[in-house]
Amino acid sequence: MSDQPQAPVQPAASQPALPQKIRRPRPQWLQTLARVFREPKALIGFIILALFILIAIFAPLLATHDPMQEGALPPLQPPSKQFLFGTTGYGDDVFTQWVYATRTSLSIGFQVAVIATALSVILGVYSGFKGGKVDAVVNWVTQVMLVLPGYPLIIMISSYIPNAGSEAIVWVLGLTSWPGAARMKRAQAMTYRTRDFVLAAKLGGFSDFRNMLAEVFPNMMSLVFNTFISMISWGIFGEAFLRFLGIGSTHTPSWGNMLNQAQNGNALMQGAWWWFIPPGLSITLVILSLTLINYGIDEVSNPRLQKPLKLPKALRRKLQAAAGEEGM
Amino acid sequence: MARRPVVEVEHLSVGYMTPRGLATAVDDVSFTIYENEIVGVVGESGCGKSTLANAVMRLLGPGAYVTGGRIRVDGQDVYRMQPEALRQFRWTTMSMVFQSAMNVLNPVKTVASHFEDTFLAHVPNMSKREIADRAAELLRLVRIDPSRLRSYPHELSGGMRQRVVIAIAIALSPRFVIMDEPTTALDVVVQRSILESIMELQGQIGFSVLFISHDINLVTAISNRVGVMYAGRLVELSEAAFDASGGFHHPYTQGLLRAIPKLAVGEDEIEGIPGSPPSPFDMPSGCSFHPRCPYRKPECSMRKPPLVVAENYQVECHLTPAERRGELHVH
Amino acid sequence: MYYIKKLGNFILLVWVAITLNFLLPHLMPGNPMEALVAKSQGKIDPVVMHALALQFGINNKPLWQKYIDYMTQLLHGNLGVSITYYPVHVSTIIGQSLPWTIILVGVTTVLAFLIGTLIGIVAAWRRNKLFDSLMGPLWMFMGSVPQFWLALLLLYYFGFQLGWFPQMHSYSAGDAPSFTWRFLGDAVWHSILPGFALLITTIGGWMLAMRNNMIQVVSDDFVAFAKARGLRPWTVMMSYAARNAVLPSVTQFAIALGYAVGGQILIEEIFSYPGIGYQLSQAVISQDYPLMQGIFLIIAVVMLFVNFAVDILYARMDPRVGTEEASA
Repeated sequence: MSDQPQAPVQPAASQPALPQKIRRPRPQWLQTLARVFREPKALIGFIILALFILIAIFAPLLATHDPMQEGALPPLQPPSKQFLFGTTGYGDDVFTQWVYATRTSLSIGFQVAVIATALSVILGVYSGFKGGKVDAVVNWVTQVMLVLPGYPLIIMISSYIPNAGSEAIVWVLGLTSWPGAARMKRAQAMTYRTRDFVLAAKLGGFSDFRNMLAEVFPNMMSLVFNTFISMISWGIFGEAFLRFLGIGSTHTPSWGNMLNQAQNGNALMQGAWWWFIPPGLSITLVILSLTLINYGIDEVSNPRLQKPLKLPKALRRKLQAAAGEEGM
Repeated sequence: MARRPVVEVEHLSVGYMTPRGLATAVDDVSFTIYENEIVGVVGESGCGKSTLANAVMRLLGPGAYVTGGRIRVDGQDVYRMQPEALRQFRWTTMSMVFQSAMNVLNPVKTVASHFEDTFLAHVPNMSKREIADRAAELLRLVRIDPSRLRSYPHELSGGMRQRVVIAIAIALSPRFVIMDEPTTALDVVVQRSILESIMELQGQIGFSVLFISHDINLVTAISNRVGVMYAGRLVELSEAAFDASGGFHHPYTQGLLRAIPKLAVGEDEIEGIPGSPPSPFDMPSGCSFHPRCPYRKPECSMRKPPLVVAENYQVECHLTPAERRGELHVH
Repeated sequence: MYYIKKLGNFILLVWVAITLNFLLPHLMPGNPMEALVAKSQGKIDPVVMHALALQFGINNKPLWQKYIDYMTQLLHGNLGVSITYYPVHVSTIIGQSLPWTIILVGVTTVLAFLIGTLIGIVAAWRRNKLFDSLMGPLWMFMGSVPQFWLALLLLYYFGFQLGWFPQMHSYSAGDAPSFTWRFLGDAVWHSILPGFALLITTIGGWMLAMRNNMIQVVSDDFVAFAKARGLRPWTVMMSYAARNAVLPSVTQFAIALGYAVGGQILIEEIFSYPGIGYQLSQAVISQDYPLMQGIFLIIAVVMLFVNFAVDILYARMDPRVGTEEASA
C-alpha cells in the first residue's frame, strides 16, 4: 500500500525500471480512448451518442415530411404509419420536426462545447502554467464568473438580445460556461509547472508557448475531453432551457422549441404524449450517453479510480482449494 | 533456550494482478520471528519487502493477492480470521508503523482523537479520562510533550508525526510490531533519535519487530537477525552479529554491503551492483540474481538454487562459501 | 488574517456584482429602456415613467454620474419600482417570494446533497458490489432527465390525471400565510411535486462526485492505517474516508445553495410557485427590467455571501485551510 510492488500496477509496464524522470510521460490519450471503449458503460454511451449523431447527419433523408410546409397536416394525429410520431396540435409531423431538432440541438451543444472548452483550455492552461500577474487576473475573473448565478445571468443577457437566433444562444451559453472548467485546468497545469520534464524543457531554452503545447497540453488530454463532453451536455440543457422559456427565435426546430410548442399547445392536457415525449426523452438519452462516456474516461484515465483486477477464475479456485485467501 | 515463535510465515507468495498477468511480488518466503526479537529485512525498492509487511497485516491493496502459503501471528492464521476477529486481533496483537508518516494520520483529526479512536475500537468502555491519561503517557514514552495531543497532524514536524505513529502503534501493547521503513522519509539526525526511541521502547516493553528498510547498515545495527530480499525471494537470513568477514553472505548481500560509502579516509570507492533488478514478467531462469552475480557458474542459470541452512545463517545459492568469497572464480 | 482576507474578497465581489448589474443594461446595443418607453407610450403612468427614467438614467447625464445615482439609491435600500406590479417596490416583491424559494429549493438542495452523498459513500465503500452497480446507472439516468420535462410529466400524471396533488401555487387559494399546522401542512402538500422533480434529478450529481472522491480517498494511507488499527468499519468509512472525501463536495454544495436562492426558474414557472424564479421568469416575459435587475442583484449578493460563509465553514472543517497563506 505504502510502496508499490515490483510489478507496476499501472499498465504502462513495458519499459524496464530505468530512471526515466526526465523523459516526458507518453501522451497516452489514444490508448486511453481504446481502453474507454472496453468499459461497458462508456461503450453504451458511445453507441447512444453515435445513433443521435447519425440521425442529425442524415436528417434530410430521414424526414418523412417537408419541414417547410408548416401546419399542412391534420392536427393531433396519434403515431401511425403515415405519421411515425404523430402530429402536433399545429398540424406538423412530429417525427420530421424531431429529426431536424436533433440536428439543431446537437450542433448547438457541440458549438457551445467548442467555445467553452477552447476558452477554458487557453485561460486555464496559460494562467496555471505561467503564474504571476496573468494568473492573478485570470483567476480573479474566473472567481467572479463562478459566483455569478448561471441561468439567471444567461436569461438576463438573452433577454437583452431580442429574437436571439441559434448563434446568439451558442455564444451566450459558450461564453458563460468556461469558468469552472478553466479552474480545474489551471489547477492541473500548475502541477506541471515544476515537473522534471517541464523543467528540463525550460532549461533547454524552449519557449513557454512551445512547452505548453508540447509538454503540458498532451498530458491534459483526458481532462480536456472530459470538459468537452460535459460542455455538450451543458449546451443541450441550456438550449432547451432557454427555448422552453421562450427566449430566442422559435422558428428553427430544436428540442427546446418542440417542448415549448408542446407546452403552449397544451399537449399533455390533450393527451398528445407523442408530441411531448420525443424531445424530452431525446435530451435524457443524449445527456445520459455523455455522462456514461465521461464516467468511462474517468475510470480509465485516473489511476486512482481504476478497478483492481481480479485473479483469473481458474487460479482463484486453485487457491481456494489450497486455502489461500484473497487479501483485503 | 526454548524461544516462543510470535510470527510464522510459511511459503508465502503474493502476486499483483496486472493487465499482463500475475506478477509475483513475494515468492515462497518463509521465516519465523521469536519473542522479543528484531528481524530486519533489506532489499532494493520493489523487491517485495513492503508487500511482505502488508501481507502479514492482511492489508494488501486492491489487485494484490496471497497466492500461496500461510501466516500465523501468535499462533493464529491471519488469513483464516473472520472480519470481526481480525479487527480485534489487529493492534492488540500486531500493529504496524507505516512508511509514510506524513500521510497516515487523518488530516482532519487531532492527535488525541487518533488515540481515542484506537482505544475505543478495542476497549469500548474506556473513559475519556483514562484515554487522555494513557495517551499522554504514551507520548511521553516517545518523548513528545503531551500538550501536542491537541495538535492536528499538519502542525507537527515529520519526525514528531512518526513518533506519534509509534506511540499509537504500542498503545495496546501488541506482541508484534511491523516497522515499514519508519525513518526513510526523515533526515539523518531525526532518524537516529527515532531509532534510539524504538530500541529503548522495545527493551522496556518487550515486543517482536519486523523491521523493513533499504539500508543494510541500519538494519544490521538494530536487528537480531537480518533477511535480504531480492526479486521477491528471501535470499538470505542470518544473525546480525555473525561475523561478516566469514564470506557466508549471498553475493547480492555482499554487493549491498560493498555499496555502502565508507567514511574512513583513503578507502576505495563505492562499488554498486551492475545491472538492475529483473521485471516480474521477465524473470531470469534458475537463480534470479545470476545475470548480476559476479561469481555465477553455468548451473546458476539452469536450476533454482537450494536453500543452504547453517547454524547461524541460511542462504539460497548454488555457490559454496569459498566460491562466494570469490576464491574459485568461474565466469 | 485568513478571515479578513476572505471578507475583503467578499466585499470586492459584491461591488463587482453591483457594478456589473448596473453596466449590463447600458452595454447592450440600444437602451432596452428606451425601447420599452417607445413601445408603451401613453400606457404607463408618467410617475412610473419618471421613476424608471431615474433608475435607468434615461437622461443625458454622463455614465459615471448615473453610476453614482444608482449606488446612492442602492445604499438607501431602494431597488426601484416594478413595472408589472406598479407601484409595488421591487424589494417588497423579492421579500414575498424569497421565503417560498428558500423553503422549496433550499430544502430540496439540502436533501439531495445528503441523500446523494450518502449513497455515494456506500457505493464507493462497496465498489463493484450489487448496491454500487444498481445505484450508479439509476441515478445517472435520473440526473440526465431535464427537470422541467419531468416536472410537467409529474404535474400531468399526479396532479391532473390522478389529482393526488395540487397543480399549482404554494398554498390553497383563500388561505393567508400563517404559522398554523394546517397551513404548513398545506404548504408542504403543494411543494411535494415540484420538490420531487428537483430532488430526483439532482441526487445523481452528488452521488457520482462523492463516489469518485471516496474511491480515491479510500486508497490513502490514513485509511489503511485506520483499518490496520482495527477501528470499526463504520468508523473507518465515516470519520476517516467520508469525512475527508466530502470536503471537495462542500464547496459545490455552497454554490448549489447559492443557486437555490435564485430559485428554479422553470420548476417554479411550471407550478406557478410564487418564488424568486417565478418572478424572474415573469419579469423576463413582461420585460420588467427593474424587477429583473433587482432579483439578479439579490441572487448575486446572496450567492456571494453563501460562498463567503462556506469559506469560513471550510476552515473549520479542514484544519489545514486557513493556516496556509496560499490558500486563497
